[in-house]
Amino acid sequence: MYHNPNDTFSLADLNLRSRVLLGSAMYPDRSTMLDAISESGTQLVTVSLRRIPAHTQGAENLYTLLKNRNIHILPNTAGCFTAKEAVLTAQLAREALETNLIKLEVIADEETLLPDSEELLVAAEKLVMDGFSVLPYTNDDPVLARKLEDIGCSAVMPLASPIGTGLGIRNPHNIEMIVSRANVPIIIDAGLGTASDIALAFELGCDAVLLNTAVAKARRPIQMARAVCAAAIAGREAYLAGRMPSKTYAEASSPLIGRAWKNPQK
Amino acid sequence: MTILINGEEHVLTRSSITVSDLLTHLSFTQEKGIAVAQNYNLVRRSEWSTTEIQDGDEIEILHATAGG
Repeated sequence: MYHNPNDTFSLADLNLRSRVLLGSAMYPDRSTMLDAISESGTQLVTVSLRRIPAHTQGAENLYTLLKNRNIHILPNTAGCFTAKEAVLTAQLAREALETNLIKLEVIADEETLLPDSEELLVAAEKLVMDGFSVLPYTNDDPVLARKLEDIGCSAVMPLASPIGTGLGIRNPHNIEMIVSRANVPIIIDAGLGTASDIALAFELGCDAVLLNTAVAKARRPIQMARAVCAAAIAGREAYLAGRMPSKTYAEASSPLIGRAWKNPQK
Repeated sequence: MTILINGEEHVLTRSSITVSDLLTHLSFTQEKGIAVAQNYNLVRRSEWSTTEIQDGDEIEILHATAGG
């Protein structure tokens, strides 16, 4: 896949070629997941921290599997409903996975899976002070995005629409406003459904996208991973190229001067 | 003593055990990619061999799994 060599993505202490972050959940099987990761071009994959089942020795764990493929790991705090839980989960993730990066999720309720903004701010502040590179999953709220940046988060990750819905970017204007005011990378996280959603995220000026369900639950996940890779590059290049101004009325592409039959007889 | 490991009750014959010895006892020989919490506090890897687990402790042993 084409990559613009002059366009690298700096996130915390990483310098990435790919602007796609991919989740590792819900694939039909592990080999499909690994192929999708490879085809998407991603260099940063999210994982959750969960209880280790008894008798897992011998089985290749996800940590080793990704490390061996030179994929960076982004642990999340999915399933945490309070700042306290999220902070402890982040500390455990750092210990287990040897990374300061944390995708901070503090969820308000199971029905919407929307972030609990108050708890999110508390957890983000604690984790930044504890030396984490915090990537908070947040509402598409420009005020909250600014607060998270001011606290010292390494990026801000507004949702496109609720987790797992695939509804795409519901409020492009808010995303544009978040981008225009930000001095840290803006990563669209959650709700992206297909290639056009991803291209739009980049055309709005976002620095990266994070997705999981769109790939894992596509009819053909590996093919969708390729589409995601291409859409990210297309959207980002279009953004850098700068789109033409929109106009209300038509403007001919071909010159009118020099055409034949200037005044055709009816 | 009786302790909770990942939410399940375990009865051990001794009166205390270090985190390291517990992991060996549970056959978690691979140290990479796992983390341990004791009563809702992280136990750093460097402290595994000196941290004693007591009767009634709640131990969580976690690793990376699929997530978005």
